[in-house]
Amino acid sequence: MVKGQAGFELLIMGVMVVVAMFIAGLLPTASVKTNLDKEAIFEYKYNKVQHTLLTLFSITHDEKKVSELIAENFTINKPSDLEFLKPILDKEIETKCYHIVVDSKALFFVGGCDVKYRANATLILPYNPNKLVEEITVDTGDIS
Amino acid sequence: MNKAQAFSISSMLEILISGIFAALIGWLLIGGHASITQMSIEYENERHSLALANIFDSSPDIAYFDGYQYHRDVLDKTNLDKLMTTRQNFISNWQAKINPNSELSKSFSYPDSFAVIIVLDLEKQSGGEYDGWVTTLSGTNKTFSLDDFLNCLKEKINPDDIPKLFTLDSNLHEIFKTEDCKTPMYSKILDYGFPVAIRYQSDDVHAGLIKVLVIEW
Repeated sequence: MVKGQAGFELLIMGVMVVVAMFIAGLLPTASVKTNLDKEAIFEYKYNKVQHTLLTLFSITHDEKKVSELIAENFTINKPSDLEFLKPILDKEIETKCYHIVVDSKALFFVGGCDVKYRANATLILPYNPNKLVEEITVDTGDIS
Repeated sequence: MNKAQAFSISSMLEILISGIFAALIGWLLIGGHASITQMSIEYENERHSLALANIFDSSPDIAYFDGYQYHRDVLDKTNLDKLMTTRQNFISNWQAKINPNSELSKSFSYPDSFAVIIVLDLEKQSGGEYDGWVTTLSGTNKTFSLDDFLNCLKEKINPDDIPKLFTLDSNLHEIFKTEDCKTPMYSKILDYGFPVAIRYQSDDVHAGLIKVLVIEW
């Protein structure tokens, strides 16, 4: 062994041990922070989609309940009647990424992203003796 | 240097290095524990703001009552006018309206906290600002001086920022200068807000948003 080589190797090992200790010390903190952030964001977005659906069922347009307009629209198949809702939904859902689906028919398909949060409810259908109710689903997601 | 002296210096170096390592491990453990505790408290603060928004949305003081049941997420305009400050009144007299004794503070608030709740009517807009209502809430304050904090807020808030409270992208914690007034924790998660409905009358229900800022000591 060349003179001084052992000392140099010891120094390198010491530095590696210190760096490893730092990483080992910081990893649990970083992992907990990531999990807490994810949980808080999930709670916010899950709550948000539920509030969006409740609001959709409560608001009116031209003195008529929006839930009734959606039901009529679904039954008589006139998508243009619901265009007034888009600016409202765009303001309520900041990611501007949402799908509103009745049965398998998409009333709104905005943003084109993967949706992660879902709320659904039963919609009462008018003028339809074959089926009196249908499920309405609101999905929201993040812009990647 | 004789043999005994060399041994003594080498031993001292070993003890010194061991001490430094022990101190480093101790610092990492204590620091890590403190960071995790602080993050848990901050997360609790965010959860409190979410809970406060949900409680507000279904509170008998604010929610619409049809004679049989309260409607969650449907805020009665009459109650909003009665218990909160309208946008026009808040903008013209915001220093007096940021007070700890609002009517709603008696119904719900967290201990050692100060909260701001803003309701926006998304269907009534003029010049980029929405019509709306504001209230401040405060809980029992045993660990801090609320008066000192409110005086600091009133001094630090830029009056030009007050109308921005009634816009979609307002960051409540920035407008309320929470960092300048040395508050340990403030929520950010409801800066954008939750959707709500605002009932003017049975055939006139508007879409709205509720924004919440919770500051805790």
